Amino acid sequence: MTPIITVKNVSKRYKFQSFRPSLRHELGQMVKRVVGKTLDASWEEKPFWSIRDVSFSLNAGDSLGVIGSNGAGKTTLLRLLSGIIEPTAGEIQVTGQFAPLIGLGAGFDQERTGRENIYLNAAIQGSSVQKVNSVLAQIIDFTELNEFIDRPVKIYSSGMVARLGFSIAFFLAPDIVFLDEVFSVGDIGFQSKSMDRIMEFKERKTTLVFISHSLDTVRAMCERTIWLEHGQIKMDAPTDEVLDAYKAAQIVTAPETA
Amino acid sequence: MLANGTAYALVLLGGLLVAAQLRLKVTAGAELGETYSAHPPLLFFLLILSAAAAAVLYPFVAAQRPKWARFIAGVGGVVMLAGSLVVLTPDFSQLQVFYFAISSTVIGFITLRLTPAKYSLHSSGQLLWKNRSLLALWVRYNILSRYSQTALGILWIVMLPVATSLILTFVFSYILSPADIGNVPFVSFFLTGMMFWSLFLQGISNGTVSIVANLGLINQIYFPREILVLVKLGEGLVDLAFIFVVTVGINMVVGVYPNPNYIYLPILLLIQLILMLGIMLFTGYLAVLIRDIQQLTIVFLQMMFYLTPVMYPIDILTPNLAELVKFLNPMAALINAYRDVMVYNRAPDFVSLYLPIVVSGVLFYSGYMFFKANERKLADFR
Repeated sequence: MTPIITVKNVSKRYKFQSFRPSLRHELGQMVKRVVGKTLDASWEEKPFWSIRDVSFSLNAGDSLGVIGSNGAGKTTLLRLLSGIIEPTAGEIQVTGQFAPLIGLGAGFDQERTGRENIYLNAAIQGSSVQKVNSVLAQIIDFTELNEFIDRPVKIYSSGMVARLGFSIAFFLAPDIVFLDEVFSVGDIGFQSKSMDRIMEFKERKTTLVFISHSLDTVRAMCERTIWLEHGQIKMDAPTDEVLDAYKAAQIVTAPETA
Repeated sequence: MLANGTAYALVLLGGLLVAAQLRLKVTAGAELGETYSAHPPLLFFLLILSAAAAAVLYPFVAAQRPKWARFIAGVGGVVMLAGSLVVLTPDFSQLQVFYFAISSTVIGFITLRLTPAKYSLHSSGQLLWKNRSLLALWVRYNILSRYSQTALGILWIVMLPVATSLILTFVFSYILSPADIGNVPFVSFFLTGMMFWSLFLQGISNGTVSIVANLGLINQIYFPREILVLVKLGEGLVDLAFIFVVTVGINMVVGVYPNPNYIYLPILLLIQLILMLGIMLFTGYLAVLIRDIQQLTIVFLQMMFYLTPVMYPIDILTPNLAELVKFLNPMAALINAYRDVMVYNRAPDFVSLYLPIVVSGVLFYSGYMFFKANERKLADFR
């Protein structure tokens, strides 16, 4: 079985400048040079490795949890996988159509109705109009927006926008689903409905990559989990093992950080 | 392979056209012989032959020096062509061959150096085709959204340029005499120029902000980024279609009727669109890096408006200035050509269109390559 996602020695470096060089500053420097004053310390580039030498591969139907503290590189990893940014080093191969549930509601045209935005959002994700037509009724049904579906998105509440975003991605039958901390939106009823839908994905051999701080959700959804720390894989093992180690580490480090 | 061949053909053609153009303008004291021809058929034959040879040679060179292979192969093609010209066509002045070789090399350098090594024209074209419904939806919704809150709605597409043209007609009928513009109705003269100028103006100014305005979306999901630029071009085209119908209508009222020369319009429009895309891909991308580009573009467009014969006939300039304007500003020759067709009922002056063709071809090719090679860096510049 050939892997559907292959990540090979991938690194992503960001350069942080201590400040952004501006024309005004450069002119100031020039004046200072002429007048003979001491110059400001020149700005330096500080490389920051958001992801460093990460490798793993996933087969169709696998579900992978990614955990780690804030700034460990989880979201960067997901952005690399979905092709938004390119790695500084290493190789990434992703085959098949994927639904990125990263920022729901991105790309909505506020002036257009919910229904029109279903077409637009699906198109941004690479789906054709015909495909949307075949699942449109299901999507609208799942959103529970009822008559609001034909009103402009600008009058929606944030929960309604999230429902719409979710439902679109859920029904386009993707091969891979990327989920980034998306369960904080929507009411409990919608959350459990979404959870059921994700479990259906698993039965349909859809590959899942799931980022979360909610360890219980990771335990329920993923067989395998990667623990990222400072951009590197600290542990890559069955979910239960990783979560136990992660929890133990949190308890040990907690007093130090306090 | 095919993409390389196409690139060579484009480079060589560009070189040929520039050389012919320079030859027409600058003879550097040399006498033009009786047999002189700017572009004899034999030259085109040799051109194709050389491009094919360069494409065939490419893989062998690539194995030796991958980084410079394209450039070497491109220059090789140029040298071969220049050499065969000297041998086969003694009619050609050496000066012309020299111009040709130099301009081809320069254009070749610009375009081929920009082609990323891993780039595949085929796969990115496929991806764009796959996303065609996104392009269509975006154009449609943007146009609907733009006017959804206004009382007159979609009528504004037509009202703006028509109003501007009427103002121009009112003001300039006091300044210009009908003889200045060849005894055609003022309103047709201004409307035709204004219609295609506003396509250019709107396209460039909207295209420049299109990427910056959608950085949030770019950060969330991957789609071929050039779609954002193409959407702005598409919106401009839809606007143009409405304005065109109204312009033809107004023209007919004042006695300027559609004529068979209209068949040239698609060619002229294509040149303009390619030119616009080239500029938009560059400015749209660079505006993300240097936000000042947005303001600079506005200044540049204003300057260009006065350098383009939109509200004056180019003949009122002194001949030298008119030549310079036509040489520097590809839109000047295009606007003249549109007017030739739509107002004066004659075929456009194709010799004056050589430079716009070359400029737009080179800008488009290098802009597209630059854009595609760097598009995945966009999400990192926030």
